[in-house]
Amino acid sequence: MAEKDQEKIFIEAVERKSYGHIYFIITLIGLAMTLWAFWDEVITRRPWKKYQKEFNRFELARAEAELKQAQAKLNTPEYKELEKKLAEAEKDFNSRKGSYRDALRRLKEAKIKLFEVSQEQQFLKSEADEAFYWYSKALHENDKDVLIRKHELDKLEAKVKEMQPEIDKRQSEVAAIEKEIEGIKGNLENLQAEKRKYTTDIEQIRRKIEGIKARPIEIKQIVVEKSLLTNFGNHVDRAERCMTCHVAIDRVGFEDADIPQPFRTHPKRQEIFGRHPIERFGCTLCHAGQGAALTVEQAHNGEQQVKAVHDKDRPIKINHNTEFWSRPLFLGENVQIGCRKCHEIDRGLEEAPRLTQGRRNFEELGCHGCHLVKGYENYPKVGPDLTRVGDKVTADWMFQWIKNPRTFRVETRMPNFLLSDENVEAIVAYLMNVTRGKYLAQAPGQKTENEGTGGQGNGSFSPSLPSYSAVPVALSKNYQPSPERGKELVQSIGCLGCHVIGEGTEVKDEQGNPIKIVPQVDDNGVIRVSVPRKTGRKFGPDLSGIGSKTNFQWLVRWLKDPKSYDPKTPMPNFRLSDEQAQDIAAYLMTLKWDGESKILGLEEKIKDPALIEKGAKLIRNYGCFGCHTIPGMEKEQRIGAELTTFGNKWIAQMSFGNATHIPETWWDWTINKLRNPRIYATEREILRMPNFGLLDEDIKAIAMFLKSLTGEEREIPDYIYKPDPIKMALIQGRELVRQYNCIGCHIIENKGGAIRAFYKPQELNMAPPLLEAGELHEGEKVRHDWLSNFLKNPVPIRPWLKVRMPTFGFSDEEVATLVSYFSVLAKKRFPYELPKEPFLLPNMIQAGARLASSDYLNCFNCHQQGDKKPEGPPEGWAPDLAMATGRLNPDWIVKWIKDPQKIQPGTKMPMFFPDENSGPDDILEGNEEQQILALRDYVLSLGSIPTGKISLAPVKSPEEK
Amino acid sequence: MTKLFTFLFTLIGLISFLGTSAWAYEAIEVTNGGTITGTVKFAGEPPERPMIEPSKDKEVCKPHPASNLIVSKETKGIQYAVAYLADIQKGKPQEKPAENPKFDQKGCEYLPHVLIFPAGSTVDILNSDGILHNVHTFSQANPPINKAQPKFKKVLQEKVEYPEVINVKCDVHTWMNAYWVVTGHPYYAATDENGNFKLENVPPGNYKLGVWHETLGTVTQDVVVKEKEETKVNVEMAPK
Repeated sequence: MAEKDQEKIFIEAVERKSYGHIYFIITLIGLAMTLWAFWDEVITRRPWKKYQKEFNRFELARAEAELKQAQAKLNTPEYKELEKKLAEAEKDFNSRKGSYRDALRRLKEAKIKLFEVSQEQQFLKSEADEAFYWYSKALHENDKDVLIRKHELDKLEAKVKEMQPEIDKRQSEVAAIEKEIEGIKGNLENLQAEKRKYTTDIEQIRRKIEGIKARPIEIKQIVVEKSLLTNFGNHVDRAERCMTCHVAIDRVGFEDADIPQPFRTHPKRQEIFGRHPIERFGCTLCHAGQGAALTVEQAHNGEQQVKAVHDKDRPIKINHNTEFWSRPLFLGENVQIGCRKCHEIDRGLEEAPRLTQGRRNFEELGCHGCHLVKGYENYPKVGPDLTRVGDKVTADWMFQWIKNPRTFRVETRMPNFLLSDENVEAIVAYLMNVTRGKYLAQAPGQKTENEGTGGQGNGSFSPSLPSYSAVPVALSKNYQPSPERGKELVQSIGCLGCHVIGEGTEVKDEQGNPIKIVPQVDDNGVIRVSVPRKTGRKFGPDLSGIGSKTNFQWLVRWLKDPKSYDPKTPMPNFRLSDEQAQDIAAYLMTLKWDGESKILGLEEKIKDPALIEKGAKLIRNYGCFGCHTIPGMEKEQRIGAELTTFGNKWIAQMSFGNATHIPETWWDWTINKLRNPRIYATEREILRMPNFGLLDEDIKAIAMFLKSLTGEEREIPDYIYKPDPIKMALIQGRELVRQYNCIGCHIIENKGGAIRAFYKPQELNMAPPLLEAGELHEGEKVRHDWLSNFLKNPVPIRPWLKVRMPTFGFSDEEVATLVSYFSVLAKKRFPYELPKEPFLLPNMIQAGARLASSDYLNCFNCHQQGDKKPEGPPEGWAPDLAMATGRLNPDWIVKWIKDPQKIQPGTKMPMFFPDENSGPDDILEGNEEQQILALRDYVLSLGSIPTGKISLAPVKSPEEK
Repeated sequence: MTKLFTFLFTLIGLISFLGTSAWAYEAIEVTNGGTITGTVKFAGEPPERPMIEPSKDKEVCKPHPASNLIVSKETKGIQYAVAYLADIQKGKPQEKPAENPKFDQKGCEYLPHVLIFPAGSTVDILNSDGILHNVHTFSQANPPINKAQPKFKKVLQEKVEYPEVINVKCDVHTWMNAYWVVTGHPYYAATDENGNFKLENVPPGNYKLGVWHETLGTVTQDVVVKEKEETKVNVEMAPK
């Protein structure tokens, strides 16, 4: 019983107990969760919706305002007037509808008739053509039928002619009816079109408004095909959703600065989207960032952190979701970083000036000497070859130089290794020991020990240059070199195109303005300057103070043949006579450095074998061979870290040492490293990178270039820029022009010509010629075969000039590149185009000869004629016309004679044919066009086009003869 | 920043105003005009005129004394200086000469050495030498020309539109040198061999008298012109 009772009670209790409130609470929670899920899904996790709605509102408001404006136009008196006129015109037209229809019908008939007769005539013409063929055939074959054929032909031609009046009549009929129709319509059509303008405007705006209203709020995405390399080595597509918020990025009309972001049009839409359509390239290929992200933080973070660090007003905000995103967004100037991965091939990319500046700094400072970067494996070393340096400089000078290079030459790129005196002594000891007696201390003709193995043996010597041992070392005893003559030569033969010489810090830039370099000395004693671009007059080293650095003998030999000392030097051969070289050397030796001092007992010390051994160790340690060729160090490898993917380096991989004050970002690490390369050194970690004494501008540029080194190139092979042959010729040509500093003397692409600042305006025709300026195009002016020969082997065109084109020892490939470059700049057909040789008629040559004679244009008053020099001073002389045949393009001669001032403003060549009455009447019937052609033909008949191979014999300058 | 802009705009405005006002010469009828007569003298010992020895075409080009500085031994007067009223706003109309100004090339020398003519004139460039010359002008306001004048071309006509001083040279005979003074108003006069000049019918008032010479530069001095009176001025020029 008790058991039963208990069971009963239990059942009752279970049945009676209410669980309603629990269910209720659970239901509430469930509901809340559902609501929360909805809310989260719809609102918090869709922040982009807000932007799209805002943009739609913005655009709608704008469209409505436009609509109002358009509608307001309907109330203007002009529109009312138009409507009135239109109504009148319509009424008028309706009243004459009958005659209009009639005219239309008549027009149709007249056109058919016209077609019929002209068709008939066309057939007759064809028959006449056939008859003509038979006739001329008979004529050529002396056929007996020739007269019959002629008769047939004449008959047909007469028929064709006969039909002409009929056709003319029909044509005028058609024209008359057309005019009649015009008259009936009046200006009805014009008025209608004008009215349509008003209404279509409104219609369009209305449609636009409807479009905006119906526009769905949705994620917008583009697929950037094959732009991601997976770990399995295949390229996959990637989605980008940036334009979900940046709705108007590719739309015209949202450029104004007062339009709030993210709604503004891309500021460089015009320049960039044309060649990089957004549907194909997306955004992050250039800008980086997280393209698939849909929140502001996730898409942009990274760059904003950096900005926050540098922009003190903004708090540092690190989003932990994206802190380690390896490709943070680039903003502002940093966008240029993105250009490199595809445009690697265009080293001088002008569209990305800061990146290009950074790259030039990287190359010119020789960073690749110590740091391996893909693409720079075989890039030449930036420093001079030290194989024979012991015969060039004194140990004292070398000591002072290595200790602090900028005390001798303030703008040098040689860095400061911050070495102790003892260490510098050791390096001097090693270098002097291995390089002395390799250049000067042997008799003429005697072979040196390194001649077979050194620079000469490796094939980099041009066969056209006198061989190493052919240069006399024993200087002529009976010649007294004159510094004055040397100075005159230095100032006149062209040295100043590449060097600043003896001008102190009063250097002139290309516009002739002095630039005074004010070095800043920082706390570590490092002299900081803005590193000049290696171009123009700053291409070669500043030679002020050279007399304290080197010696007379070395200078003479170097000047005679620079490549005998350093096979890879860009210094060209000026084909100097022994005397000239000695004069110049004598002058340069007078340029002394005021900081020169003797180091006590240095000469003795450096003979110590222990010190020499220490020096070798130090050189290996500091990697001097990264920039210089040093005997005994040929097999050494780069000492620095590889930088090929440095831009991707994680912050966790970067050691900040004891420099805890530096914010832990890539940019801060890199910029501080470049400013003070040993800042992260600790007791355990010895850093060896020297200080380049850079200013912040250059540091930022280099950092940008380093940031671009990501190795992403291999991820996006489809996107790499592949220039067409024309663009390629430009890129390669510009690179060579830069490499040899052609623009130190010549103006090319309207740039350069620094040496011209040394000529008075009237004497500019004595300066090196312009090559690409305004209307003047060297590639149009000269024949490419001539240019090839000239580049290989310059021959004086104006032998009286003091300045001379030196022999650069270009390789065949370099010559071809330069010739293509000038052809492309002249818009000539690529790659080569031989000029069309005019057929020279004897009567034209005769007429030209008469024109050129002293009775008429008197060309030889100024132009040299064979060996006969013109009268008067050389400023008034002009090149031998006989040279034109092999040198100038015939078409260009015509262009030049027509208007020399247009091609080269300020030239002394006058215009002989300014108008239609300027030529003599008794030659070629006074026809100026014919006279110009006759002059051209005459000039072309004077010389001959050289045939055969390019001669490789060294050219002698007039002085040498 | 705004201040700077305001300043700049005012400056630009001022400059353009001055610039235009300098050209805005108003022609009026002058009935009570005075005359300025003067002498331009050389400060110091009169220099010798160096001889120009032609280096080519010697059968035509004869040695002649240089004209870039001619100072009279007796009076120290400088020939071929140009006196003008620098700041005149209104005065007698500038009349086109009845016939074109003549500019000859004779004995490889330009005649006259300084040619004054009103803007808009056409110069008749003669070639009395009968050899090849070229006329090369180094002008700024007018388009520079470099036209050949071979022996068969007896006259070359050249219209010059805008006032300025133009250096004319021949590249064939590098010593040949002359100046065209293209005037914007009629108050210009070249000095004679004794350095005398005369500016007539000048409306009464205060003026700045400028004297320009190709090698000695420009000097200015104040001058007061009274109704129907003659004002005498003496100008001294020294080597630069």
